[in-house]
Amino acid sequence: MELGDRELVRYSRQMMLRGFGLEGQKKLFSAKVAVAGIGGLGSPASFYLAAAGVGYLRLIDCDVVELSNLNRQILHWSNDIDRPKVESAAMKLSLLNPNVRIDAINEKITGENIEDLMEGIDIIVDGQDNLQTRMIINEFAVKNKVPYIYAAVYGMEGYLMTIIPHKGPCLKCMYPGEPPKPEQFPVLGTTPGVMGCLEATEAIKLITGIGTPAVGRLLVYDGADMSFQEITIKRNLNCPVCSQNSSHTN
Amino acid sequence: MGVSAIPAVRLRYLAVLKGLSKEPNREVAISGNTLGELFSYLRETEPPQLKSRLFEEDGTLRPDIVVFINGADASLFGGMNAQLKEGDEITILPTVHGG
Repeated sequence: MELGDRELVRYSRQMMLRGFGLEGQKKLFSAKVAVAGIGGLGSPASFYLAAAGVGYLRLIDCDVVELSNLNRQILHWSNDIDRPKVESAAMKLSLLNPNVRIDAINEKITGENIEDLMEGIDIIVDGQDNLQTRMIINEFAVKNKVPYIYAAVYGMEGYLMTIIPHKGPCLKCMYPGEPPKPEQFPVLGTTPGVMGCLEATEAIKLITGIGTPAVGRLLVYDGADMSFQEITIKRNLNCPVCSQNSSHTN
Repeated sequence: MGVSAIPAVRLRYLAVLKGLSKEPNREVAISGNTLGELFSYLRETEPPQLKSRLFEEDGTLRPDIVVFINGADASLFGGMNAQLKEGDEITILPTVHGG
């Protein structure tokens, strides 16, 4: 593809990055990214992906905007209440960057429909609010060798790990037990803001090939004492999802 | 610290647990050599707020608490029966699933 004069100006500051350039921008334009959940995490993540010029975004969420979302879900505004989140988000992202093709899919991700929902996708960005659906995404990602950028938040804390199937641990390696039941959680709006930005950073890095992704490293952000720590996470050689013995890799 | 000096492990609390511990990153010497014995020690010695976040009323670990031994989930090594050795790093953190 050729970038027009206006695109060259729009993306000029990021194209100045070492290792990015015109080639990096073309890779972004060719990329297809799914943002699975357009809430606290998915709002900033999709915002920065659209701003960076990712060519295709598939927004997936089954919820409508509620008043209690607005402290953190920054793509949804006061006049969007009761509107499907994917519609609300798609409208803002299209205004931000008309060059991005956006599909807004108002569906809940399940084990039955994930193959269809993620068809043709290069990278999945996590915007979920429960571990059960994350495990469904993780299984799909491993089975189809699609990178999956995991993030989650609670209060002023956030976790992030980039899952590149078979190159590092998957989510099931890290959480081998039964997922806890979803529950309402406290959250300062800036926490998913930070983590969603980090997710977008990881996605852009994977697409352009710059930097080192957080594979096998759980990044733990703590806004209360303003610190980042990381834990090295190992692959579980008997992981039911990603090990050689699992049904997904045979 | 513990009763004897065998073995000494590095204990690290993360996320919300960090603020509940007086020393979230420290070396702990325990009298036994299993993860269960480390947790027996923690049940006796940690401040009440941290204990109530870590343990159920019956003393078992709450299901949303994840324990890593040198970066791998402790359940892979036998859970509370996991054998600890000198220098092991035990990281304890809550599962987080909001978005």
